Amino acid sequence: MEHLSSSQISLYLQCPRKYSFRYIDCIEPPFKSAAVAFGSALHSAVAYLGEAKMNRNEINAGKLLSVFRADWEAQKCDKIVFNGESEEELLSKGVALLKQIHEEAVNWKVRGAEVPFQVPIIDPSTGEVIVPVNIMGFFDLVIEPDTIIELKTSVRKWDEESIKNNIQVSIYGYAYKLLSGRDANLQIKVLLKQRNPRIETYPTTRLDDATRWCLNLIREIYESIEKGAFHPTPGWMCADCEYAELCKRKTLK
Amino acid sequence: MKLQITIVDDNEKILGTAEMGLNGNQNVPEQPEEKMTDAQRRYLFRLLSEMGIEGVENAKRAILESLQVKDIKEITKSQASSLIEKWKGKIDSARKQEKEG
Repeated sequence: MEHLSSSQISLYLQCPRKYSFRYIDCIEPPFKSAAVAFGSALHSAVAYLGEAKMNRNEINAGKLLSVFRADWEAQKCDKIVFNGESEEELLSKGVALLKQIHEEAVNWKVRGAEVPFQVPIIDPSTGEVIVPVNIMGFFDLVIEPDTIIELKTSVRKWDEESIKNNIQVSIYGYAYKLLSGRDANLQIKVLLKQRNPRIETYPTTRLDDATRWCLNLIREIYESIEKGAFHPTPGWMCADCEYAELCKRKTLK
Repeated sequence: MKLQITIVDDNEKILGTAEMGLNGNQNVPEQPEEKMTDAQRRYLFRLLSEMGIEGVENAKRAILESLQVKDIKEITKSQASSLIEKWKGKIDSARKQEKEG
C-alpha cells in the first residue's frame, strides 16, 4: 500500500468487504446509486462556486444551477439506480439547496475548493511515525479564517455523536494543523434532502485526545487491511450498495 | 512474420515483451493510456451546456462524434483534454464576436 485516503478509511469503517471490492480487487461498480450521483453533482457545483469566489468572479444563482444540471447529466453516463426518489424530485432538491448555498456564500472569503493534501501519519507531539504511509484527501472548501468546510448530503439531521466522531473531519483537522501550524475551525455542512430542503451547519472541534484517537484508529485500520481482514457489514446500507449481489455470492460460496 | 523478444533483467525477471517485424520496425509494448477523468467529463458537459447542447444523450452524441469513438468509457485523458481546449476556444471566440458585434 502506497498511501491511504480519507475516503478509503471512511469506506473501510462502513464496510471492509466493500473496501476490498473497490480498492483491492479494483472492481468497477456496476451502477451508481442516485444518492451518490446526486452528492457528487452537488459537491462539484459547490466547488465551482468556491473556485469562482476564490478568483473573484461573481457568478449568479442561474449560472450555478446550470453547472449543477450539467454535472448531473455527466453523472448519468453511468448507470444510475434510483431508490425511492425520482430524478425530478432529486433535481428540485438540488436546486433549492444550491440557491441556499449561493446566498450563504455571499460573505465567504474562499482560499481553496477541493484542495488536495497529503501528510504523514505521525504523533503530532513527538513526530513518531504511527502508520508508515501518507494519508491523502481533499478539503471541500477552505475559507478565511482557517475554516475547513466539509459538505455532506443526507436525508436526516446529524446527531452529536456523528459530528464528534466523523473520521474524515478528524483527518482534515489533523492535516490542516500539520500543514499550517494552526488549528482549523471545522464545519460540517449537511445538505438535507428533505421535503423542505435546507442546510444545517455544525461547527466542531478536534482536541488532542480526539486526534490521537483518530490516528490510532487509522493505524488499526491499516493493520487490518494489511492482514486482509475484509468481512462484510450487513445493514441498511446494503440496499444501496453497488456490490450487494457480488457480496452475497461471495459469502454463500 | 514477426519475431517476439522478451526483455529480462539481471535476475531473469521478465520486464516486458516486444515484437520485431521483418521490416525491422520494433513495436515496444505501450502502457494503456489513462481514461478520461470524472472532472474532465463534467467539464465537457458544462461546455456543451454553454453551447446549448443539453441532456445526457445529446451530450454523449456530441462527444462521441467529435472524437470518433463508440463508447464514452473508451475516451482517454488526452483526447478529453484536447476536446476541452477545442470547445473552450470555440466558446471564447463566440463570446468575443458577441462583444464586438
